[in-house]
Amino acid sequence: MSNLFLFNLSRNHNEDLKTCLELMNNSDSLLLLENGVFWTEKGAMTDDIHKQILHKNLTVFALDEDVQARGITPINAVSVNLIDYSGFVTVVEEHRQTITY
Amino acid sequence: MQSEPALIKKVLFIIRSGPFDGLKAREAIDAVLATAAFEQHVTVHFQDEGVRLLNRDMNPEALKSKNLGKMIKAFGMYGVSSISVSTGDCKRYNCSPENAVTTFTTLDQNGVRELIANQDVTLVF
Repeated sequence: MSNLFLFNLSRNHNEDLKTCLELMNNSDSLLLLENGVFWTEKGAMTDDIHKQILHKNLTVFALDEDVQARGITPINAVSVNLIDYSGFVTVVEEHRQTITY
Repeated sequence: MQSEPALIKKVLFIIRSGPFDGLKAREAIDAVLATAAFEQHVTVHFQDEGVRLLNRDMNPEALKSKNLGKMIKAFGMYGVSSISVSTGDCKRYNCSPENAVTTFTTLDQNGVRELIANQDVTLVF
């Protein structure tokens, strides 16, 4: 069973997102929430971040309530699965550990 | 009445916050000691700015704040089973066995991923 990583830091934290991705195993999931949802905006993710996500076959989620609250449109080459709070609960249930980065 | 068997979990603490980065590092160390006191299987991994906590030359008394290095030194006494540092960050923050408050092993990124995969709970500070 894979692990779920929660990432809530804004785009000022490029290095933090990179080190978070480095800790993730293949097929783990990343849930972007709070200011982390800004990473779903166009051009937010650098090429090396993209590559890591694709290379490790990571599933990326973003919390819809946080996306709506910030008025952003997730358009990203990495397909982002928007989930609401109840989806959040389901995703947590589906993973072995939930790791808040 | 038969007593229930003790529930022992494997708990990994990843400490990324530096010594003067608010109270986060202090909280992490308190949590490590508390968890170990409850006889859980505790592993601690230092990375990023967290590696600075191992520097034995720190003298926080100059700022009248608590010496976290002394608390890390006590990890062994509390039964913390292993302490590791990310290889790259070890170099980056000039951490060596000679200038660290405790003995540690180094782990590359693969090693850290494996470590996480083997835990019941991973907490990042």
